[in-house]
Amino acid sequence: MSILNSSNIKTLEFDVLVIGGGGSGMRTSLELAKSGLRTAVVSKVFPTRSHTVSAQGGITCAIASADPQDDWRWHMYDTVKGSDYIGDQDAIEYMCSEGPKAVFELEHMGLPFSRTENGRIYQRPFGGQSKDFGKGGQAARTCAAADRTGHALLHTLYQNNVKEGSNFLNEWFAVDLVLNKFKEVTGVVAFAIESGEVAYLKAQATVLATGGAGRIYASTTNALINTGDGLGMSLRAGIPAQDMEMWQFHPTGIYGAGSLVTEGCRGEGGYLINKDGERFMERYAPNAKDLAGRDVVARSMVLEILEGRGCGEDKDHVFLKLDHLGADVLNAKLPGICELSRTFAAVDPVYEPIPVVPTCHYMMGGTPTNIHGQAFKLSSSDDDYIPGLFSVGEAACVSVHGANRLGGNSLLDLVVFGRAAGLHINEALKSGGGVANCDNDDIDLALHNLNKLNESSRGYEVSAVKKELQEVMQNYFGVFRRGDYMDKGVTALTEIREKIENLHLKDKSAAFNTNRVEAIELQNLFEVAEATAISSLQRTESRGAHAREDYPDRDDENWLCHSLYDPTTKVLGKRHVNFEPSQVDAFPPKVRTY
Amino acid sequence: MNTDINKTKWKCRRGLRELDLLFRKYSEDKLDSLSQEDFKLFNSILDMEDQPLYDFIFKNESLNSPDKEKFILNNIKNFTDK
Ligand SMILES: Cc1cc2nc3c(=O)[nH]c(=O)nc-3n(C[C@H](O)[C@H](O)[C@H](O)COP(=O)(O)OP(=O)(O)OC[C@H]3O[C@@H](n4cnc5c(N)ncnc54)[C@H](O)[C@@H]3O)c2cc1C
Repeated sequence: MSILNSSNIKTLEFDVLVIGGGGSGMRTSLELAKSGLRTAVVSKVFPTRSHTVSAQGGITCAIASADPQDDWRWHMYDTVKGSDYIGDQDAIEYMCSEGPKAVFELEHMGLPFSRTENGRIYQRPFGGQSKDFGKGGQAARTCAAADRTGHALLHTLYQNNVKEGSNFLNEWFAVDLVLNKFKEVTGVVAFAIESGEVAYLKAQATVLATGGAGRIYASTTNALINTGDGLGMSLRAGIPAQDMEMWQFHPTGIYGAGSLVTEGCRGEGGYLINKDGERFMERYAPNAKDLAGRDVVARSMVLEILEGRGCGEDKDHVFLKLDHLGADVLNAKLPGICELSRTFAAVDPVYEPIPVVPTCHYMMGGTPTNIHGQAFKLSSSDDDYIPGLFSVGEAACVSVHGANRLGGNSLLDLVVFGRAAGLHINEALKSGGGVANCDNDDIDLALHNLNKLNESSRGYEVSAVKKELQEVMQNYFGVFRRGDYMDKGVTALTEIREKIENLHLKDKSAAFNTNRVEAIELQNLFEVAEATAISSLQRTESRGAHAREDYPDRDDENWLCHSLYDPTTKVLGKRHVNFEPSQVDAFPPKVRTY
Repeated sequence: MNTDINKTKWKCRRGLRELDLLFRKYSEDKLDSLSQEDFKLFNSILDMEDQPLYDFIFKNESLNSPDKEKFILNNIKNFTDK
C-alpha cells in the first residue's frame, strides 16, 4: 500500500459534516438538511445500529402528560441537583424548557410513543425525579415508546433525514480532524470500511456526534462501538476535554456480563439487598431509597461490598430482588428482564435475585461546548470557539449532566442540542460564516497516523494492549478512587502510551479490515482514558460520580467548577460553571440528599 | 472468502451490548467452519435490526422466520463470552 497523501486521495465536499449517525448526529443533520445545506452524515455503522438503540428506557421531559401540573422548572431543579451543581444552569434551563417542543416535534415526525388509557403519552418514573423542587415526592417524567424508545427515535430520525435529503456515508470511518493554519477545522480524513478507500471530507462546519467511550473500562454496559472516536480525534488535535473524571456507573449491570438491568426494575418496586438480605439503600437514602441518583446508589453498593456485606463467593456484588413482584408483573411491566438474567447470569428473577454490580455506563465529560454546540478553545473566555468545530450528544459536554446524569436525560440532550446546533450552523453559514481552505500539508498531517499504522512491520498487538488499558482503568479509576492508586494507574498508562504509538497492523488488506478499525479505536480509547485518569487524579474532592476515598467531601470552595484537560500539556485547568439561567433564579449549591 | 468473513465479522458489531456478547463470540469461534448454507443464514440474521433480534432473544417476540429463530436458539442464544 502506497503512502497516502493529499494528492493521491480524493476530496468530497459538503457544507456540513456530521460525524455520527446516532440520535444526536441525525437530529443535527435533520435540521441542516431541512434548511437546504448539503449535509453528510458519516457513520461507522449503519445509522439505525448506533448505540442510541440501547436507550430502551425513554426520554425524560416535563411534557405534563402523566401529571398535568408537571413543570420544566422541577425538571431543571432535579437536573441541577443531580449534576451535583456543576451542570451549567443556562444549558440545563434551555434543555428543560425547550424539551417539550423537541419531544412534540418527534411525536409529529412519527415517533410512536406509548399511550395511557386516555390517549396521553405514557411517562414512567426514573431515579432522581421529583415534583415541586424536591418537596412533592416521586415524579413520572420519562416518556417511552414501549421498551424501544432508542430504536424508535433512530428510525424516526433516519426516515425524516432521508426525506429531507441528507447524504449518508454509511460504514465510513473518520480517522482524524483536518485543521488549517488558522487552527480552524476544515473536515476529516476518513475511509470507506467496505473498500478501504481514503478521502478528505471537506466542510465549512464539522460536528462531532460520535457518542460515548464506555469501552475504556473492562466492565461496561456499552457496545463495542463506543470507543470515543470523536474525542480521540479532538484530543490528538490538541483540543481540550471537560469534566473527564465524571463517568456514570449504572448501579445494576449484570455481574460478569455488564448487561444493563433497567432502572425501571427499581421503579416498579424492585430493590437491592446485601448478603444479609438487608435492603441497604434505606440506610443511605432514607427517602428515595433505591431510586436515589445513580451515583448515590452505585457508591452505596460499593460501600456494602468494601465493608464485607457483598454477595457470592468473593463477596464482590449485591443482589437485585424482584421475586416479590411476581411473575405476572415481571412479564407485563419488565419484559425481557427475566430472559436477560437467565442468559447472562443463569438466574431466574421470578425465584431468585439477580447478581449486579455498578458498571460503567455514561460519559458525562466531553468536548466543551455552548448551547449551540460550538466547541470551546482552551481559554478563560466564554466567547472563544474553535472555528468550524461543533459537538453534540454524549461526545459533547454542554454541560447539562455535570457530575452525574439523570436517567432519560441523555436522549433529551441529543434532540434538544442536536436541533440547536443545526439551527445555529444554518444561520452562521447563511450569514457568511465559514472557514478558510486548508493546505495540502494540513491533510498530510491528518493522514500521518493512518500511514504509520499501514506501514507498521512490527509492534504491539491491538487486543492485548486494549485488555491492559481496560484493566488499568477498571482497577485504578473505577467507582471509588484514591490518590496513591491513581498515581500507579497514571504510571501504567504512560507505559501503555508507548505501545499505543507502536501498534502493529498485521493485516494490511483494504476491504472490511476490522483490525485497522480496531487499532484506531484503541488509540482513541487511550486518549479518552488518559484524559480521564489525569482529571480524576487532579480533582481533589468527591462530587457526583467522582468519589475519592482520600477526599471524601465536596469542596465547593475550590471545585465548584468544570475541569478542563489540556491534551498538549496534560495539565488540568478549571472553567467556571454557569449560574445564570435567564428565566428563573439560579439554584444555589446545597447538600445533596435523597 | 476472506473478505466475506471480515464483512460478516464487521456485521457482528451491534448497537446493543447483549447482541455483541452473543454474536461476537459465536463469530470468532465458528465462522471459519460454517457450511455455506449456515454462513448465509447467519448473515441474513446479522442483516436484521438490533431491536427485533433483541425482542426475539429476550422477549420471545417472533421474527416471522422459523429458520432464523431455530438457528439463533440452537447456536447463538447460549453462546456468550462474558
Ligand atoms: C444500555 C444503555 C441504556 C441506555 N438507556 C438510556 C435511556 O433509557 N435514556 C437515555 O436518555 N439514555 C440512555 N442511555 C444513554 C444514551 O443511549 C446515549 O448517551 C446516547 O444514545 C448517545 O447518543 P449519541 O448520538 O451521542 O451517540 P451514539 O448513538 O452512540 O452514536 C454515535 C455515532 O457515531 C458514529 N461514529 C463513532 N465513531 C465514528 C467514527 N470514527 N467514524 C464514523 N462514525 C463514527 C457511530 O457509527 C454512531 O452512528 C443508555 C445507554 C446505555 C449504554
